[in-house]
Amino acid sequence: MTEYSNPEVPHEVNVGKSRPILDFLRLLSGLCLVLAAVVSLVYFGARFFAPKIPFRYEGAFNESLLKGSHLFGKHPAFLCAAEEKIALQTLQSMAEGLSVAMDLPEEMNIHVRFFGGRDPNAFATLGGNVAISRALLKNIHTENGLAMVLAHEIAHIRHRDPIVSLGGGAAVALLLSAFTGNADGGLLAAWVADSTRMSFSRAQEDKADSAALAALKTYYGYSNGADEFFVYIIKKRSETPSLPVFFGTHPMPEARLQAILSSFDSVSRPLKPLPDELLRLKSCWPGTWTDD
Amino acid sequence: MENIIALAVVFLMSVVTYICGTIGEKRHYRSIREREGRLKNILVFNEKMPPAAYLKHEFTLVAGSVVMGSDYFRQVLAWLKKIFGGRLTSLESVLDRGRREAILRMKEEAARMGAKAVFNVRLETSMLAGNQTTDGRQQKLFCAEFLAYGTALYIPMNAS
Repeated sequence: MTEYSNPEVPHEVNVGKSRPILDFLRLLSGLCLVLAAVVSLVYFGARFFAPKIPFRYEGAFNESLLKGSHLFGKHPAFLCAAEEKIALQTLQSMAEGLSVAMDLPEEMNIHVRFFGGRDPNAFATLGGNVAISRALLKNIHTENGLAMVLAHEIAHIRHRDPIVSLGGGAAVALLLSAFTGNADGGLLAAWVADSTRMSFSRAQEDKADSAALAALKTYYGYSNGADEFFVYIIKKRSETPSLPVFFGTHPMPEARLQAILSSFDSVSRPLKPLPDELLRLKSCWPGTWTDD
Repeated sequence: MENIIALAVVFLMSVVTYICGTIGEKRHYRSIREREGRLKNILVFNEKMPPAAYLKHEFTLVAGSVVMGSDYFRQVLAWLKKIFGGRLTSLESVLDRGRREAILRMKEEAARMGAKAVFNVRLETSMLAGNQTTDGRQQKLFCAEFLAYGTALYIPMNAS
């Protein structure tokens, strides 16, 4: 057996030297960087391309979106259906007047709706839908204040903000679903369902504000009175510190109020009272629900 | 919220299994080295034909097999590494331990029958991972079976 032997093999011959924790941290941070880059690319890409989708497609998508939303159902506390219908027609014609003042493209039709009851809020969503909460109408007393809210939301639609906001979010949600292998699209579904509370960036809000003020100047000849809702909401916030729904979608009311006030004519202008149809609806509503 | 909980679970599992896995590996290597030292008198070769000195020996098949699994942390690390490519060093020691353990078990069997050498030693590895689960996903469990087998040459007990 002299020619046969088993030499001693070095112990770690087949095992590479590694520092697992360091490797782990290095790889994880690399992955995060790559992911962040891809997500940003997809997010900003989608936001860039979303407004290129013709507006008419928004309507078709939006119908399916709104069908499942409880927001637009009849609020059980409000039985003034007939008054609400008439008031909506008035709001609709106000919105159309403002649309003309804002030089809205012909295909962009605005549909005004009521929603909810407790939180004074308004939002614009896909398909030219502008939703105004009943609590908002209840707490506004001049047409100028209401027109500012409407014009602001119409400006969002004119700037295609809802589809930009939804597009960016949906694209990222889709990417993450694909990455995590979550095939049921739970994240995406949640995003779409939540799209009625889309939040716009501060820049989008400011742009909508200045477009709305310009529209009021065309519509009434001045923008005085546009601050009513902002004044109300700042006052309400000081009384009740948490108003997540409103401030989720409309941040920094004080700064925006300053911008609105600076657009006012220095001379005093008469403010228009709310149209009779809206007053009738307000008087039909019970008096206690806004603050409950 | 669910995603945060899921991430926290991954993190916690990684930490715990890294600690347990490192301790386990050190212990296993200690045992491997000790047994390799003890069984070094049994020679193993991959050569098919034994030399003339063994012609009078009896021969029989001996085999040793082991199923090795990797810990969770190593799998996470390997998963991360697979994205970027390169050597999966976190799994190398698992495979090395598997091969050495299989050979040791084969040697132990050979030692029980008084063999001096094992010829024609072969190693086989088969993955036990990758089975489809009911929801159609790949199993994330990494484990492999290592089989070492060869022809043990021994002098029969009744031989003079």
